[in-house]
Amino acid sequence: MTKIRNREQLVEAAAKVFAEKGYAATRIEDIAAELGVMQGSLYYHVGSKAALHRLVVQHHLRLLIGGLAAIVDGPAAPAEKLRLAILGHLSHVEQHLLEAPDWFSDPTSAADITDEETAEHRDLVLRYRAGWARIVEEAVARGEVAAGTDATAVAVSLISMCDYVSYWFRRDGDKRIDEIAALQHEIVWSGIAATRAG
Amino acid sequence: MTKIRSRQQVVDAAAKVFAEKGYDNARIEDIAKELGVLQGSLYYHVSSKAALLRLVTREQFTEVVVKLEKLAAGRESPREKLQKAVRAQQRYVDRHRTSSPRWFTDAHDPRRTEIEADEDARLLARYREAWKSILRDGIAAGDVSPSIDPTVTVLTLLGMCISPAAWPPPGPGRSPGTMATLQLDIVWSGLAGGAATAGPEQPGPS
Repeated sequence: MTKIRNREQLVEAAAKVFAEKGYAATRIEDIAAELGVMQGSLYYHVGSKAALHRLVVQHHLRLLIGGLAAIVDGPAAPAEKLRLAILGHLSHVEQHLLEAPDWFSDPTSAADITDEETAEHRDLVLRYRAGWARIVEEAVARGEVAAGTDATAVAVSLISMCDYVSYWFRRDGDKRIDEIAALQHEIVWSGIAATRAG
Repeated sequence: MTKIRSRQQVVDAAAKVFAEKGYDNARIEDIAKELGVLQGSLYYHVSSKAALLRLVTREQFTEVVVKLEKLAAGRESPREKLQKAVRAQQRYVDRHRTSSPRWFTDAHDPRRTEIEADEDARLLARYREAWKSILRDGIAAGDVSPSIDPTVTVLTLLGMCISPAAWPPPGPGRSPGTMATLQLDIVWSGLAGGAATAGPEQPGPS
């Protein structure tokens, strides 16, 4: 038996097991087995499977925020940044398809969530939103998107669009995730209306 | 004590009690009281509170589907149809916060019977099909670009208006109606095509 060294190790092990089995089918003992520890030592670090799941969700939110920050801070034009942001989110979803649904759900209905944890979770979601909003604001500043556009409302809509993919995407479907990302980018950047001559 | 005349009567009473008390707080006896019957006679018609909720939820969503099918078959322009469809979807999600996710984000309720799962899948397929038919008619009429993928477009629009990522709430001035208008603008004209403005259409680059 080994020891749990830190929270990060715990979260990574839990993330791995959730990804393999899905949240519902995962038992705390599976995560203990992955870590090579007794179930009891796991409970010393985290109160419940739900609490562990929230830690894993926050871990994924941080990964999404990190990926998006690199895009937002990069040199690309807003349209390209938007393309990369959609592709980045969808690729991350595709890699974690079993657990991706619920990453953006309201965590506050859980009975054992603390105010501190809620605040931390809210902060992560808002940071991710702010990254998307910055791309929209940049496009507005360059005159590519109409002035007065509500960047936050657009950000919430775009993240919802990407998040929803985790609920309907099937690996055995007729389109790969990058094809769906490209189609969604085309839809939200250029629209679906027919461009008429004249 | 009165008698239960039809399943519909049970569903209506359950819908009322769930709406008033919330599903968790509603007890089977509250629904029996609403109907003016004994709890036992209610159990003769339905097996559990969860089963009642499924009946209520399906009825509410069936109404949404039937309305959309009527809208899709109507005479309005594709743009107007989509606008109304997005608003109706947003209203539905907003009004039924606890039950609407079942169709879109909790599709794998383990308590459902196989027959129920099958009925649910067919209802959802009808719903998506009605959306797609609006887009296909739009393509036929020359309003919608023929190069779009109707399935991905429908799922893009639905994703926006179901708003699974709307926690924390995006703040004042962003009511479901405002969001619905913005979302349709994004999808119809594109962000680069003057979406999110109420102004006249800008001529695109030639």
